[in-house]
Amino acid sequence: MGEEILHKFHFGTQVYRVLLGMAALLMLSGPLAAEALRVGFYENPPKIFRDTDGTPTGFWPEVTDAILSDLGYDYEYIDCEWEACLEMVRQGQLDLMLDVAYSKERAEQFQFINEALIYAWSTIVTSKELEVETLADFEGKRIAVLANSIQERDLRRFLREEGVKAKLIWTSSVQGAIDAVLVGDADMAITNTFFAVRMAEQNDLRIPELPFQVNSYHYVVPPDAPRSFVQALNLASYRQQMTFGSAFHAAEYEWISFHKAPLPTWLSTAVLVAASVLMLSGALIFTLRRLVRARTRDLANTVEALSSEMELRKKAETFALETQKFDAIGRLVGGVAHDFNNLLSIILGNLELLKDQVEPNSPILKYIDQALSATKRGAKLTYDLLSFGRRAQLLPQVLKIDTVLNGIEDMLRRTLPANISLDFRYDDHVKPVLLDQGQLENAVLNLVLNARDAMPSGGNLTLSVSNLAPDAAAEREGTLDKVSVSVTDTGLGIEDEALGKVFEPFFTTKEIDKGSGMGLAMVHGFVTQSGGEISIRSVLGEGTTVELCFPVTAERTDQESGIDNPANLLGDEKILLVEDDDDVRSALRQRLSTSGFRVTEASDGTSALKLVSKPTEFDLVVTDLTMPGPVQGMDLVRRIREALGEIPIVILTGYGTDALDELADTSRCILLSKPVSGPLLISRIRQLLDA
Amino acid sequence: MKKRFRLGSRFWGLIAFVMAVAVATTAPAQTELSMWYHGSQNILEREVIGQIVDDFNTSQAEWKVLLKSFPEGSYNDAVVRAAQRGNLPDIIDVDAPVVANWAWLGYLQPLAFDAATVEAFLPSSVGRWKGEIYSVGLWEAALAILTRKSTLEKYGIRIPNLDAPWSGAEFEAALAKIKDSGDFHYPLDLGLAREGEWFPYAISPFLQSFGGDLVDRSTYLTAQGALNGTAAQEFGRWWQSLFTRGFVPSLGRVQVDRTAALIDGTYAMSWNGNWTVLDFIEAHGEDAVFLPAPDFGGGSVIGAGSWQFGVSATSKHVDGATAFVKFAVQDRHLTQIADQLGLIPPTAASALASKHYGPEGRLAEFVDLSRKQALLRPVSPSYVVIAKVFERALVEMAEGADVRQVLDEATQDINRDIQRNAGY
Repeated sequence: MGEEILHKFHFGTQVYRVLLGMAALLMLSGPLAAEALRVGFYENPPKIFRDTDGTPTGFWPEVTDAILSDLGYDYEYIDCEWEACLEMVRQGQLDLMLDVAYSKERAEQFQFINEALIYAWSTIVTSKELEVETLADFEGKRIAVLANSIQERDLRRFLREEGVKAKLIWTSSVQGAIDAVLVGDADMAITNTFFAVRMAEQNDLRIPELPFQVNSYHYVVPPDAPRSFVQALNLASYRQQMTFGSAFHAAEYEWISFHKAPLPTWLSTAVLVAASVLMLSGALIFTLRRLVRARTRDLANTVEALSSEMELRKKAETFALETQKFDAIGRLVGGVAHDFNNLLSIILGNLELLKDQVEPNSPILKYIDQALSATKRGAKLTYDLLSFGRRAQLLPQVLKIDTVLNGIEDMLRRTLPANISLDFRYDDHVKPVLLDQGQLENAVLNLVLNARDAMPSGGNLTLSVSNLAPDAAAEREGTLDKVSVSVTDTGLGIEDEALGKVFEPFFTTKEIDKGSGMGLAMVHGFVTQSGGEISIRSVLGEGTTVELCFPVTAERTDQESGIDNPANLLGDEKILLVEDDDDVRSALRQRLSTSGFRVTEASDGTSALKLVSKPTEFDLVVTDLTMPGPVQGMDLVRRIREALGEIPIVILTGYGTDALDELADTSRCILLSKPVSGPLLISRIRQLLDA
Repeated sequence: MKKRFRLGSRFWGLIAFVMAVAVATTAPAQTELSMWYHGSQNILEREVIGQIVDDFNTSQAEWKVLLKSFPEGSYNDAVVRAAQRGNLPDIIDVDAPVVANWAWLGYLQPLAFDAATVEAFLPSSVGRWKGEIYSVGLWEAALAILTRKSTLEKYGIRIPNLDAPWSGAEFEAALAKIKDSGDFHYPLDLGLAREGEWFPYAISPFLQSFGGDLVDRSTYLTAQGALNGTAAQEFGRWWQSLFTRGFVPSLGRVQVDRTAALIDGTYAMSWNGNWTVLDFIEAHGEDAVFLPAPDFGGGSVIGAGSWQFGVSATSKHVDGATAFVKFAVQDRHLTQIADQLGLIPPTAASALASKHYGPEGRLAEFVDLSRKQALLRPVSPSYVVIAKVFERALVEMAEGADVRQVLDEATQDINRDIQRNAGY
């Protein structure tokens, strides 16, 4: 019968049509009887029971009220015990009984309304590892079940009827059945569905898609009830189930299901639409926010880049301004120094000539030497002025750093306030290096000034020069010894974040207008171009050390070559002397002639070129760099080379470095600053001629 | 003045009437108490209980018990489901061996009874757990061997009595003689067509008479030794032999009416309850006898049992529910039940007043049986499991399984349950 009921249920559509017609007839014919229907009522909460007011309530009363009201019946509940109710139905004393589980035996005693309103089943709970797809999978399993429960009764009947062998694990509580699975005493448990769902969720257990022991619950009517009444109830039951939002569904969710009742269609739709709108709005807002955030970020980046660029430009402008300022000062100083150098050249040349003509024991010699010394100090002053203006002659030369620094100690001391002590530490026998002396001095000056700024409250500044021997690895690679120049202060120190940027152009930690940010950058460039290395170590609050390392050179230093000594370097070679200043040219000619050289004079470049174009052969040319007329010193050098080939050339300049770049690729050509001493000039000439 | 007086008299009469109606309509209503009962399918029993409820409701004005009867087969499940949903009634009908389980599960609360209230009751009719009284029964049930005196005399079998029950050997000899006679389908009917609680209730006393038990009652923490010891194995072999020797019907055989089968001579003896005795006596009169359980060495033992009333743990009207239980267990109700249903009255006074169990009553000996031989089933929440495990063991041994292996497995199953519940 159960299968029969289900079978008819599946033929719902056809049945519906047939029953609909019959129901129409029934409605036309009116209710079954004028008297109220007698409906059996027994307590079985929550399906059927009386509430505290005594009002029938629960699933069945709510559905029954809807069905009988739709059909136009009046009805009354007759309280009776379960067995008594059934007996009364059997005897026709009740017209309708609710909530009767289908069984073959009962089907022989009553008329069942085919449409079951409740299906109930027990639920299988297994561990995550066990899969139960059919009831045949019960074979050989240990199944936990509450002792004396309906589940136990149904399970035993199932096992007996189906011939399945399984071992029951009885438990003393519903929870115990779950516990048995959890501890491995049972493979699965069978409990009521309400409990199973809750336990499975709490304990991460599996509920297979397989109900156990499905029972259907129906209305029953007396065996001799009119068929039209049975069909009308059947149809009404069917319609209740097929109509969304019906009393059946409301009661099912209220009293039977452990799921929440669904919302009405219109509300569900409204909620869905609202949710969709909200989601779309949310998505739109989200997208817009992201877009705005991206734009804002781009804008911020742009502003930052712009600010950075503006700052850079400002620094560049400041630097350019400073450069222009220094350039202007350099030009001014260079011009003065040029003229002053010419004067010194005259004085120096004549003093040296005078000294050559005085008897060695003459008391006049003393005055000449003093005059010579003053002249050299004047020459040094012009050199410093040119260095300041970056227009000094900056040519790499073999030198000892300690000697160079020893020469600017006074100047360095003058740059420091009284609360900063300056200590110079030089190794003995500092090895020679090949460096541009002016750049070296500038570099050290920059470092000393930085150290000064780092010690606003005073401190100690140590400038040391020492020889460094290469380590083993460097020695294997053929690395030479180095000479280290370090400038150490006891100042504020530099933060780690800033330490990596100090050599970058325009980077400065000083206040605006207090530094160009180019100092260490220029030092870095000078050291690197000189083949050296620069490093910086700093401890915040303790001080900073900047160390410059330069490779040692094998050449003898110019200082050691005795440039001030009147070497017995004589010669008879032909020299073309080009100098626009008559006095300077005269002094130089006199000095060269004294040394035995045969000198041909020219007062400017044009005259010199004429002399060069004649078949007269010159062994060497000495020329001023800056001269009046269309042919300047470098033009003259280039054209003399074109005319005479690799003839040695000595260029004299009172300005400095302007011609350095052009001379870089010019062989057998040297640049000497005015005023140049006679011995130095002669020795350099001799070196060029002998090379 | 006179007219006025007459008018005043009418006026005051009207006022008095209105006040009387008002008082009547505003009198406090009785507070309702819900009560669940397991015997909806037993019409006579339901009527008796219904009568007690009605008496209570009319005996006082404060409480009104609403009785709801359930089919016995689904009663326990209905209680379990109600407990899960928090819908337990105020008063619960509970099977005696389940009391400890329901108390442990929190379905019941201790009764506000002092010991004196239940002092007169058979111990088996009072539900106790961990020193508290949870329920009180309105009757007691006892088993006995029902047979005819003439049958025993025919085969020269001694008629035992409470003071001198059959020994195990005598019982065996009697069964053998009757079997050998061929006059009966079976010498003994143990009622094995039934399932469930009947097995531990009716058969475990034989185990206990052999010296075994369902669980070690000294600790209630293990069945080791009790259910699988030497005595238990001896019981198992005896039990198995009942089938192999054809002394009892095989398991599962349909028995439509055991009493009728005893009366018509299908069986020579029947191991049955006192509630069936009246029919047997009615059929055979003085020839009908009910004998104490045989003694296999550990004493003559029968199972004690009753359904009892308790108060649910979730009751909001504990006073009313307790008042009803006290009302129900009065001697007059106990006597009423004994006389109408044939059940054993649990107090001496109610037995004395009983038609069947009084001094002149035909069933008076059952009172002595209960007092002298009745042994409570293990008082433990685990009993519901123990009973099932024991039932399965009995079935398997009856079907020929290895006795020792079956009892060892049963012991292990019970021990695992106790362990899973941390000893309860």
